[in-house]
Amino acid sequence: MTLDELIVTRRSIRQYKGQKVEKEKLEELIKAAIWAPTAGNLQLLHFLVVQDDKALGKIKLFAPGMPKSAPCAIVICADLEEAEARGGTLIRKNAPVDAAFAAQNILLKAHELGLGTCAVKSYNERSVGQILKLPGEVAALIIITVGYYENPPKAPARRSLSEVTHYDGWEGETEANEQG
Amino acid sequence: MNRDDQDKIFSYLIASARGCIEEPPLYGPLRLLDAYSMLLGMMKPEETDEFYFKLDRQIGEFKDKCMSDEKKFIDGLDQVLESLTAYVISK
Repeated sequence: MTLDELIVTRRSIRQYKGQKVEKEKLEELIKAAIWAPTAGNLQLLHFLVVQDDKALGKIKLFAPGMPKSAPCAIVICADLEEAEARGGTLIRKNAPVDAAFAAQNILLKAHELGLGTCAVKSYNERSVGQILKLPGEVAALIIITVGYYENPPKAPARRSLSEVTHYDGWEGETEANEQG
Repeated sequence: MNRDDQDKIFSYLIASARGCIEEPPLYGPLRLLDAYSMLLGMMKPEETDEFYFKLDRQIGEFKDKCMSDEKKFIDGLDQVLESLTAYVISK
């Protein structure tokens, strides 16, 4: 698939088959994430792969938005204390942005590998931190469920280019080329 | 309801209560509907009426519209409530 095809055919997958994901494929995903941009090139992110049924089950207990059939999760974390020491106070705002860049790389790479994913933010950060024994100020910034799936959902409608594109300021011309 | 089920539903309810403070408003109804499905899934068929399983299937038809089609989600919820009310009246 081309990059455009990957972008428009990726879906948030909430129903998974029970099959485990191969370690090689998971590492492919993390390799893709490592190449995402990071604020100040600090490269602060850590990727916790959770495949153990017991640990995953406990995380799901405190993650109401997490697909219950997911056989695997990648928890993107950052040590915010280390981040602040190296990147200043602004890094506390930047770290979730870095995590989002990395997450998008994972979502697209997984789709290329035939894996489904769902980015999850509806979880209790403290509870998940306790379960994963995250030390000090290491925060779980985003969870991505990963697994094989059968029936992808239909794409929700997207807003048009004209609705969301502004040239030279908010009040500027919004007419955009809708082709393609 | 066994101990594992208790872990599931109690943690789901408490984690949802905390989450709903900051989440989109429609996640509240969504979590309640999910809790309904979870509780029903913890029952044996003979413990409740078939109607409630039918209602759960009806919920499944619109639940995922929560963030993509608000009107369809609310209409679906209204219809479920109508079915439930009619069922309770008929008993």
